[in-house]
Amino acid sequence: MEEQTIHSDLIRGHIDAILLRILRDGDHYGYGLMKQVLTLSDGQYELKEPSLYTSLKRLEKQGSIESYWGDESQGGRRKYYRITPQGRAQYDEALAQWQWAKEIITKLLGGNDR
Amino acid sequence: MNELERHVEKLFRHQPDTPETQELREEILSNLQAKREDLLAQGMDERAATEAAKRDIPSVDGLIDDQQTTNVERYRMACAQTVWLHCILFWIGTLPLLFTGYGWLGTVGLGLSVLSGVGYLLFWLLHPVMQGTRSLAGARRRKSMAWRIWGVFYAVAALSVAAMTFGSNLWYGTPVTIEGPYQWAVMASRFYVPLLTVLIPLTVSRFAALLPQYRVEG
Repeated sequence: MEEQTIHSDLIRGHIDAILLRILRDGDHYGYGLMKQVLTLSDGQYELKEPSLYTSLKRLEKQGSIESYWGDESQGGRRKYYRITPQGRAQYDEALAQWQWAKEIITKLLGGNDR
Repeated sequence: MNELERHVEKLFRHQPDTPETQELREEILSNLQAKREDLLAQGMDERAATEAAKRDIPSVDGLIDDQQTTNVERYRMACAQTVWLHCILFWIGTLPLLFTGYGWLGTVGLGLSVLSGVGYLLFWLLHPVMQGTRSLAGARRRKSMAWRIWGVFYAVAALSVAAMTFGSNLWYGTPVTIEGPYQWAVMASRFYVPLLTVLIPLTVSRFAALLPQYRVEG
């Protein structure tokens, strides 16, 4: 648990891109996204609900995702999210930036020496 | 209403009732229900699953736009009206004190009522059209602050009045003697006068309650 708190600061800045990546593969509702984050990280990273909603709200405002309500007959209606072309572009950009940063940080921290 | 619905209800208790908050509320509830069902399917017992779902979202304060676009002009007028009304209530509240040593408070009450009435009238005459943003959480904070300060004030005031009134009886172990209804009235008035200041936190509370009513959609 403590380990996750330390790492989560590094991950937090990438939540938007992580959500875009998941939505690229298909529409999801909030809890579905959280489960997907857990699955894709092999159970090592759990997205908290407040960060989820903050991120979704920001992405929707930017026009990177759109939302629509599902038609569940029982239980509450679910709000689904769909990626937009702009969201796909934003994801590609974020991925490119991450790969660039990863390379440089690895060099700078000397991660390849050991 | 099940426990998750109650939890979500509680999360949104102090939030403004807008289409956005209603949507967020429905979304949060459906996600919590999905999480609970998922945990149940994994074999967790009902109690623990509900608790786990609730734990993840302890507050929605950061998720809702706190800065409300407000019709400042109409909001201020409503506040001025509240102040006026509360001054009149204060004046009425001082009337029972007429025949005690606190009769002068009635004059103060009347003076305040006239002053705040004139103030309200001026607002009404020269209201400039104004829009601005106001913080809803800020208004709620001021409200709870006002009540806390007042609570401490009244506790101290009542205790010191009690000490003054009954202190010597306690000290010398003499019985408390109240000689007739006038003495009663005098004693009661000592506790009653500080109680009248309750109108101050009531005014601040009213300000907080009025704010969401002057929201401007946009």
